[in-house]
Amino acid sequence: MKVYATYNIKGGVGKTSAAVNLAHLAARSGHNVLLWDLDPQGAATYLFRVRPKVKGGSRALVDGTRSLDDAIKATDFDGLDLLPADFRYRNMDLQLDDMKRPTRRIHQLLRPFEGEYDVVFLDCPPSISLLSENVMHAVDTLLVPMIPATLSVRTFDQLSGFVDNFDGRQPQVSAFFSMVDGRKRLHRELVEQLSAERKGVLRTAIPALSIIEQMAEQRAPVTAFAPHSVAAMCYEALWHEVNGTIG
Amino acid sequence: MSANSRAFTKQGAVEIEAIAAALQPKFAITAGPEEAVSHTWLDTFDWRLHEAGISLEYLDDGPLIMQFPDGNRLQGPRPKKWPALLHDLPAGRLRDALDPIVAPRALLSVVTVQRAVRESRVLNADEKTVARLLTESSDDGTSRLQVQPLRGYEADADRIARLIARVDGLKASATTPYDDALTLATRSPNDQVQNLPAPLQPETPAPVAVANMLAQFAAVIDDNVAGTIAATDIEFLHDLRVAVRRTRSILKLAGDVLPANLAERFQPEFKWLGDLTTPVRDLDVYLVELDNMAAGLASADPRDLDPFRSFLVRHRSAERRRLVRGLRSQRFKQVMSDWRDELAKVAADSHGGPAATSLARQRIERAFRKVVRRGKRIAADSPSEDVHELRKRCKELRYLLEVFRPLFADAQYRPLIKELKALQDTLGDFQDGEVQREAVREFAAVMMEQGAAPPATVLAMGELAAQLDAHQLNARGALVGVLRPFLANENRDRIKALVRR
Repeated sequence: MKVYATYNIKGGVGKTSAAVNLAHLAARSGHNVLLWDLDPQGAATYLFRVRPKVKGGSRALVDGTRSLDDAIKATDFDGLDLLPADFRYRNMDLQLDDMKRPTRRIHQLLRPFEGEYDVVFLDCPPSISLLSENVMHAVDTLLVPMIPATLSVRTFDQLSGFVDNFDGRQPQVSAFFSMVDGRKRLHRELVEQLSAERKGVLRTAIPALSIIEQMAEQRAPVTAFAPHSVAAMCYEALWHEVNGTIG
Repeated sequence: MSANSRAFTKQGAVEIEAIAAALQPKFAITAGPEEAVSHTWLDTFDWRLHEAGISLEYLDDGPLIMQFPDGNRLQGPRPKKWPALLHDLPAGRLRDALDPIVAPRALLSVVTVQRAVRESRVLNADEKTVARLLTESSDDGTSRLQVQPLRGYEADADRIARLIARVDGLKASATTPYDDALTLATRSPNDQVQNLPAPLQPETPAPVAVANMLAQFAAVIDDNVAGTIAATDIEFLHDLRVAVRRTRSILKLAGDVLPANLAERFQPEFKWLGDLTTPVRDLDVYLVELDNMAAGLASADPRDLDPFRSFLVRHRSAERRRLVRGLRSQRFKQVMSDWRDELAKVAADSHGGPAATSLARQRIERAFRKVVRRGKRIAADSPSEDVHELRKRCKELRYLLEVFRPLFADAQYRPLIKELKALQDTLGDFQDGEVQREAVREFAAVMMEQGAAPPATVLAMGELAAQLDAHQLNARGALVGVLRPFLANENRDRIKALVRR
């Protein structure tokens, strides 16, 4: 089971779009996939038309009184299941803090799914918190969408440095440019330069396209409702690159 | 599992509009196109999936779909051809789910039917798919509709099924699509039951009872010849051997009730058949066990055993050629054909004589006495030959208990068979360890003679032999522990109660 998370400290950079499309592509290629929408805003949950409610909220999941298993919902797509968001996830930090090994809880919660799912995606809320630290300990690869700006790169460096200090198991940190505007020279230059120079920055970039925004109206991954669009092909290229990176 | 049925049948076509009307206003339907598909089902030769209530199927060139009794499904890629062993399937959840049920048997294509199929989605008020409806119509004019639940929406699937149950003309289905398709197959799980002779009755004349049970073993031998010759999976040969062994045991223990030297005439033939099948079966067992044993190596690298594995594979190929020649020989065909004829004559012509029950009582008592006599002499340091003899007597007792089981009450039988099985498992462990340890030594010698054994391989085989020694020591320790309860008064009383006239 490979665990991926889409994570960035900033909001609105394309985390959910990446998680939803990559999870759909993984399922389409025959994998059994689980997407856990950890963001209390529940954008991924909304996109899959699932109700953003988990019995007992995050407390019950975190302290183990309810099994994650019972909360999982099938999406409309074969092989792709969703663990929905719940507005009560906003308190997850406090609940994690009450646990014995507060930074390893998400990792423990996912362990029973080892035989059941081939791929797990965690769609994280934008923040740096106990939850994000948990996610970093739980994943094989942290996928970091970045808008092409010098400050984004600085955040990526900070994140890589933070993960490098982990004892034992360290996730791979893979950044990719997102919401790239081909008309802006700065965007083009930054994407070219950094993906060539920096280890951990992927070659595939996701352009800013209105069809990606249409996901909210269509309530489906762009790879499902417009499989031949440029956006869908970019996500496919990204999935191949990510999947190839860690085998 | 849901209490109400999620599968329905109808004479004539299922009108999707009628279903949609029944589901309103809570649910809407998005109907998919109707397609002509060929639908193929798979199972093992001994119907393990059917027995577990599971169907394994595919449509046209689609993926393999495993459907559980509660309607849940798993899917995965298909192997290139059938029959397929599990390792021919790509690794994944489907293979993992099949493994405990199917292995080591091969999956065979059982039946293919042409159907018109339509998959529709049932949506809730959020336009979320909460279940799928699968409608299939076949050439005979019947249609089948199945509500397939989606994870997390099982309650919706039940509600949908309840609403559909009210539609005119639809009946809850008592059979699965697999059951329906099997009525068109050349083989089916019911064949065995249908072909059985009349069940054993207490008053059945003993010669008829014995001839009937031997005829059943002969049918098992016949059934497994083609799969053994084709090497479809290793269980064909195993089942064939078990039937031969049972035949030999019954001939030895009760063959005297058959007329005019029948037992004496056929005993050497079945010994020949048993001996013919032994080498390949032994090699099958070594090859199956080798990976487990290799994983337990402490000093040697499991890869050091690769030349040993290759040697076993080569050796097996040679032995298999001999086995196949034997099974295709005129001698084998003649023996089986004469045997069936003779048994049929006995079953048709025998009247009178002792009843099956009195034969059963007498022979079970005698076999149990032999087990007790041999068992009492066994201690932790007894010679292996004595343990081997005890094992053979236990097998004979087991076969007798099994063939005469219909004559006795289940309550008397069950605890006895349970204790006997525990004893046989330990004896089997002991014997296998002994045989394998000797075989590893002999194989090592042959491989060295042939220059096929690099030093690392010989060392690894030495470690294997040591592992088997340790295993043997454990089995010896366990043996006395399981013998005691089997020989205890409680069991003797059970046998006494069974054979009391």
